[in-house]
Amino acid sequence: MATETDPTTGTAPGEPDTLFQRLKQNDTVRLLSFEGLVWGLVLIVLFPIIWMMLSSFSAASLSDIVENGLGWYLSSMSLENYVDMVESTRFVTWFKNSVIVSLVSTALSIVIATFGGYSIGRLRYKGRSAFAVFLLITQMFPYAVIIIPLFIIFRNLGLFNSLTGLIVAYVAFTLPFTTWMLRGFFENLPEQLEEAAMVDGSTRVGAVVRVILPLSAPAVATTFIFGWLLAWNEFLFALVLINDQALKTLPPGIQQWVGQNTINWGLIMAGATTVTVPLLLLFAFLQQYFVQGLAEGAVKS
Amino acid sequence: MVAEKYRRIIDESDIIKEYQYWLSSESVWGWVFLLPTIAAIGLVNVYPVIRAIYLSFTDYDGITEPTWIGLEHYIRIFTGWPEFWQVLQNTLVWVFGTVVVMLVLGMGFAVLLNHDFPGSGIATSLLLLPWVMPYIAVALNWQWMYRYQTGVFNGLLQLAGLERVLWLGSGKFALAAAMVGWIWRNFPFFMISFLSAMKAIPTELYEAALVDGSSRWELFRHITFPYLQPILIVTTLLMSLWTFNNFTMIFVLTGGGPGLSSMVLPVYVYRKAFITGDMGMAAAIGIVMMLIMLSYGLVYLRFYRADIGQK
Repeated sequence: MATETDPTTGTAPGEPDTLFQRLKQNDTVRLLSFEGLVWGLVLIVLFPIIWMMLSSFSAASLSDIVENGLGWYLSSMSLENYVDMVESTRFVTWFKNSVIVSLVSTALSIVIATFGGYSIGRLRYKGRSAFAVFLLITQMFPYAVIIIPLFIIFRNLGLFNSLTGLIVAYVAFTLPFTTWMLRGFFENLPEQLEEAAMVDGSTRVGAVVRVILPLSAPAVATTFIFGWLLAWNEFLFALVLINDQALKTLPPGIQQWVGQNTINWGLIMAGATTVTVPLLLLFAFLQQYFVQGLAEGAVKS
Repeated sequence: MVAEKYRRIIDESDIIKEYQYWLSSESVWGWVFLLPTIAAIGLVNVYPVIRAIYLSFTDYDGITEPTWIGLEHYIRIFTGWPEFWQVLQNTLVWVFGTVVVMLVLGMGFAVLLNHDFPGSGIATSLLLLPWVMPYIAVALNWQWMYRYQTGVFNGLLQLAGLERVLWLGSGKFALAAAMVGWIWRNFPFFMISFLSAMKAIPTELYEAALVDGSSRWELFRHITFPYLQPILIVTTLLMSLWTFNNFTMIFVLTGGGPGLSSMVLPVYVYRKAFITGDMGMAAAIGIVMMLIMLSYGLVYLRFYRADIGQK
């Protein structure tokens, strides 16, 4: 460093000559310290996720690691918690239930929202915008209020303690969001698309399915991801509407492990990691949909 | 001549127009296409809310028939019931405390990431990861990190030569601890919203201002901030509603305890309804909660419409 800066100080009298001042003027160093700050912050923000994943392999505490050394920590890591989770808990069943409920409910929600969103977005009739606003208002009904009567209604209808019931609840739960989001996309399609199709002898339903839907495939994909996230994350409805261990979904399922007499945090972190990984993968592959969907749908709605 | 005159009168009469309107394919299909939505929302949203309003005027344990008691629950709520007011106060601290910090953090990170440096795209993606995590995983993970004996935060404190802190087990820290976890999970929402908005600001504006000799702070104050204002209002209101309505984080992390120190309204309503079995009172508290959300939401709708109007 010193040999590099010597000639410059020699040729430029009056320039600041302490090393520190010279460093501050150096753009590369400034950029590096800026980048250092950013990456440092990234590491701090990511630490909880990293710690969760490490803990799923070995739930050693920090003091244990410091006391026994990094070598001991690394050798204490194993897949034991994951094996335990699969073999001696209902995790696989819950995972399956979660996958079924979230995928089926989102698919149904998208089908219903396609027609609903088309209706609000592209057809002109009285009451259209009032219904759109009404959909937004339903988003302000707290779930904690809805769940009390819903529990009673589902019990009376025989939908309590059944995956079908949970799917019905999730379809309605995601519907305002999916409808509102698809409406936004449909609205921006060129005008009179479906009229052209209908002149060619297609029905209104046929026009939606054959013309509008294929054109909005990316929008449907984005909406599907966000709808699926809502259903995959949902906790309260699943907690109240399902009682049977064999029918539970992941969030209330894993949560029970905290209440057990001997809490195995390694096992719990293995569960938390497994719930998270599908989302991380989805995010890695479909990141632009996430960000675009957020900008176009979530923020606007 | 006469016939034509009559035809014109009939054509222009309101009844015929109305009739033609209702038969026009757009209005018929409009409502036909909405039928499944109306059915689903009706069964799972609207009817339960109407039912909850009814239940809030009754004494109901969920098993025997509800008995009408009029305004009794509401009178109890609004005439100095300390427990309810403590929960309401916690909820307001929980909502506004987290949203303000998230706003500041989101803005700070957006400003940092708006610089062009190698790997800025990767840094943005990595910083979004907390926001991708499921609430259940976040709540369990933070509970693990806050443990008194084995938690990593107390481990760090000990390394720094400090005393361990009872994070979740003390009334002093439980709510604040939950808030930190919630802020961590959700600040990227503000970050990415602000960052997208910042990227859309024309660079000529900055260049012109730099020529005029404006400082960095002036650039932020007079160009960046005004551009971000619409999205700032919308994201703040949305996040406030999500935070107000969230059940999972507090329920899993602290259960509202110790005592009522970290209790928020959604968890409180759940406990009253399904643990205590006092569904009438739970419904009444829930309706109060709904009124708060609705009034807040109406403000949001006004801004939303103003925002649309500008475009």
